[in-house]
Amino acid sequence: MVRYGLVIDLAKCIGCRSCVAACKNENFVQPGNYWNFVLEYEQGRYPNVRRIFVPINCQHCENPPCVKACPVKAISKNEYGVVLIDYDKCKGYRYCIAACPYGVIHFIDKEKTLYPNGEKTPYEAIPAEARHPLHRKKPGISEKCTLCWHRIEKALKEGKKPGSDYDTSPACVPVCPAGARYFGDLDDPNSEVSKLIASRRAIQLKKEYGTRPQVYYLV
Amino acid sequence: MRFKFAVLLAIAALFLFAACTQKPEVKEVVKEKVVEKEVPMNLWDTAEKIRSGEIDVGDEYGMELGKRWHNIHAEVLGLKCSYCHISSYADDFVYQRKYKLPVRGAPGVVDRAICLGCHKQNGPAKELYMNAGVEGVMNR
Repeated sequence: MVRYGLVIDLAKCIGCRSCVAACKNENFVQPGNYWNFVLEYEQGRYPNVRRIFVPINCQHCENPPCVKACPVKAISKNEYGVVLIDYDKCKGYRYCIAACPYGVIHFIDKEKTLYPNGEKTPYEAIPAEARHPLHRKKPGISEKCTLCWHRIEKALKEGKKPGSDYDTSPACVPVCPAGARYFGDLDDPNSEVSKLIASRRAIQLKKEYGTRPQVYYLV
Repeated sequence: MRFKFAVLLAIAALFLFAACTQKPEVKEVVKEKVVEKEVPMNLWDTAEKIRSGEIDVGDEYGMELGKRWHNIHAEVLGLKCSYCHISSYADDFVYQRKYKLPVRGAPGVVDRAICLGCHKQNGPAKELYMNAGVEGVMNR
């Protein structure tokens, strides 16, 4: 079995938000919504204070509550472990947003453009039919991180190994200047992600919900 | 000087004697009427009645007031707004949409830990969350 996931090294993350910007750019995420976000926390007492940055995106859980909550079964987990929303089936009921304990699903209330006057940038003006189905978003639906499935799917079709280079990895992984993000097959014991999880202290967020996320954080 | 001190001491002793000899008032204890409180609803029965349609919560799915979600939680279960909608998250709370207000002016943010009480594995409500440590059950 193949189960794609992420490993994020919190000791390396400097909170630059390159991953956030790369994701927004790659996935046509409109202003106000984000598939990837960096939370900041302050630890300690003056003068021994430090900031911790926690990049958070869809955890692509093994037991995804969003899949169970959706009344129209618009969310599913594919054979590679990636949880995806079908925009054609989604009716915007937002039960997935209510169920997700990580808050990674966003609702597209109305179309927003980068320019406040509504004028579209050349990038935003790319018609829906010219985009990958996962980028054909419209008002009234929910959206979230897809682990750049469009890149992984293309790599698999071309016979390349996902995660082997820039174009076959999720956009947030290769852009990290600190090298804090890793992508790979969690079921492959020889993959970099598996070795990191085995050799370092790796945690999952909100284990009490029993979601079994496929994103691990090295602390 | 000694005389004045003796006079003050005598006055203090007099007050002390008066205080000690006062009888406590006996108040009649009036038993309050015992008001029978409503028996808390059985969540399991209520959930079953909703699933079977015995309790009509509407067919319109959605998070807005008047639609199914709030009909179940606010109307049938009687959860107060403040039970779910908190004013802010704790500083160390991990939640991606932590700084984003809900759409359509919904009051405050919702702490998802509230949902875990009923929507847990083998809970009364629709099972959304599993017990920690349960193997993945989703078909891939």
